[in-house]
Amino acid sequence: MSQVRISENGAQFCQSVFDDMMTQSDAVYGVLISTVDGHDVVKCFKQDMPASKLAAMMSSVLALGETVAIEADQQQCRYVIVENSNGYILTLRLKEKLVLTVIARANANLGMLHSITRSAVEKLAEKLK
Amino acid sequence: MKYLSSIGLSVKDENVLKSLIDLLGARMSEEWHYRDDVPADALLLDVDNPDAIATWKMRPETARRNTIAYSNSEPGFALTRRLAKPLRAAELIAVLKDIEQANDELAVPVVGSEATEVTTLADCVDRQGNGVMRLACGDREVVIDRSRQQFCSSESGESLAALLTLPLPEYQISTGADVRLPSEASVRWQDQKAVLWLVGQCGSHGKLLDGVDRNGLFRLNRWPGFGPVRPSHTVLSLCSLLSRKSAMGIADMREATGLPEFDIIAFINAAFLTGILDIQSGDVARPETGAAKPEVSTERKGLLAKIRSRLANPRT
Amino acid sequence: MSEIKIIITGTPGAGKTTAIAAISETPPVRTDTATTDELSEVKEQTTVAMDFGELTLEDDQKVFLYGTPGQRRFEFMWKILVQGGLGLIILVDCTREDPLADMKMYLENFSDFIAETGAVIGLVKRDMTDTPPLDEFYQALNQQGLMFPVFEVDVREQGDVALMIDALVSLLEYS
Ligand SMILES: Nc1nc2c(ncn2[C@@H]2O[C@H](COP(=O)(O)OP(=O)(O)OP(=O)(O)O)[C@@H](O)[C@H]2O)c(=O)[nH]1
Ligand SMILES: [Mg+2]
Repeated sequence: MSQVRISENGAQFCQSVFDDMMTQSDAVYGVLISTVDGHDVVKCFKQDMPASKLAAMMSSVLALGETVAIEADQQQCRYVIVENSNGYILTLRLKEKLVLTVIARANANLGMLHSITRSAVEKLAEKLK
Repeated sequence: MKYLSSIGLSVKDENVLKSLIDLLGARMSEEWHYRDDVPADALLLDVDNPDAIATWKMRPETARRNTIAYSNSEPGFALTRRLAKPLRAAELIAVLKDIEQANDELAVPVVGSEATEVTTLADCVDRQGNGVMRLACGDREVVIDRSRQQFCSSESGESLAALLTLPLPEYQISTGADVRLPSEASVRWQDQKAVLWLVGQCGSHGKLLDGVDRNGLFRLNRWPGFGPVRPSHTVLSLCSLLSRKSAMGIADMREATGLPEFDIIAFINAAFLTGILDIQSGDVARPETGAAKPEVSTERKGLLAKIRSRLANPRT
Repeated sequence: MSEIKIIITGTPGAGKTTAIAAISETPPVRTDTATTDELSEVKEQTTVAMDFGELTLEDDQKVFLYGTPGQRRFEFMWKILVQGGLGLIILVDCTREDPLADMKMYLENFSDFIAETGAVIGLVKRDMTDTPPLDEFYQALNQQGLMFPVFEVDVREQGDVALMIDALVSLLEYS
């Protein structure tokens, strides 16, 4: 339904970036690109999760994070992190209209997760128009 | 001697009615006859038949006194007396007895054909029925055209309300063909509901309309459209109260709101005139008072009052 | 003192964000982001989490106004936002295909909350269309055994938003 569509090539590129992330940290078991208004675009999940629902929720979460930052007089929300007893969900903006979400198990190293995600965003941002 | 007539009944129903009337005899305190050619003391109207309703509406108010709504289902029609189809002797007797009794109570000396004297603007407008009516006081005027469902006035907003608050003798009233209509170019016709609402609110002077049963139970079938006039707290409270599932009588309304009867009557009249009021006979089984909803706590009432007061004082 | 909140919901683009901006004392908190789908033909931004505004009462107590996202995929936010709410305002955009179905959808989705509290229906964009007639909304409510006020409003006007809240408050006290 989303008007944001990626070409075959684009999708393949995303998948390769996702694969790299999962190789760099085996704790990562889900990566999702969605739109800021909550539609899923591309995903790679190693376990069954509702992509469209997650896409909508992640747009709410990121929007709230960014809004909370402004209310608390802090600048430039970089990530919103949900830390749970058995894992992490990390989400951040990708270019202007997209959102990248990374889902990892608790054995992930949070610093490592940050850096993998950052570099993925850089690669994706460069390639996606 | 009393006369019963009917409008819009099927041939079969009319025959049944006639034979029932002939059988009433000693069971009534007065002698009843079915007649179409004399002013009737009671009128049976088939409200499932739209043509019949149209005919009925054309009749003068005096000829519509004691109309009994005859229908298949609970009609959305504001008449206090009702009969369900098919006709049954016992029910017919009950309604006619009720009419006999009501007329006895009304046994004030009747002059001419007018049963009761009209004392308020609200009654005056209600009785006018379908025609055109002009109310004037000095150079201020209101023209209501009920058949086209619109009105125009030299006044608006508060000043229109003020004009409609005067005691009845202060107006010069003309109706029907006597009304000198303002020239089309100079006036703006508006939906009559706005003026009918105001007539009820301002022109009732504490008197319930003759057409409304004092002991009836009331319920709104929709909320009034307020237009540019911000409704008062009183009006909103009464609208809410009459939005409940079960209909309410005047005494219940007073108890629930603590409002003076004067305001409640103004509201009921306004709702009746604008056609948003359903009336049930007060004789039907009353809803269990135990089923009433739990009281709103004082603390909560206080909170709601504070929100209301904040809304009444907009900040910029 | 417990939190007092009123929730405004309704179809995408009906004017929930606009309504809160019209009446809130503080600049409303918005979570609007760019629209990327067919809604972008109608408007550039849509709410993805909530709108938030506030009113201060005489004793400094606050009333919070929450606007929900309108789009159905944000249904999970509806459930979160109504928790502990005082009542609901449903805005229905009459320029959409089937406004009556829209109203029914929101009545159904919030039915538990409405049953415990109350609701006011605001018909918007009546300057652009006068259908469906007001009576049809009352009939639709009636069919579901409900009787709530239905107003034609312009949510860009503070007075119209105040009327809906005022009616809601009366409903909570008396109906
Ligand atoms: N012509 C007209 N426009 C209106 C009226 N009410 C609101 N609008 C416009 O409709 C738009 C409503 O947009 P929003 O307030 O963002 O709608 P929303 O309900 O928050 O939408 P979502 O967050 O996407 O669910 C604004 O551009 C308003 O100016 C009205 O009565 N008439
Ligand atoms: Mg919005």
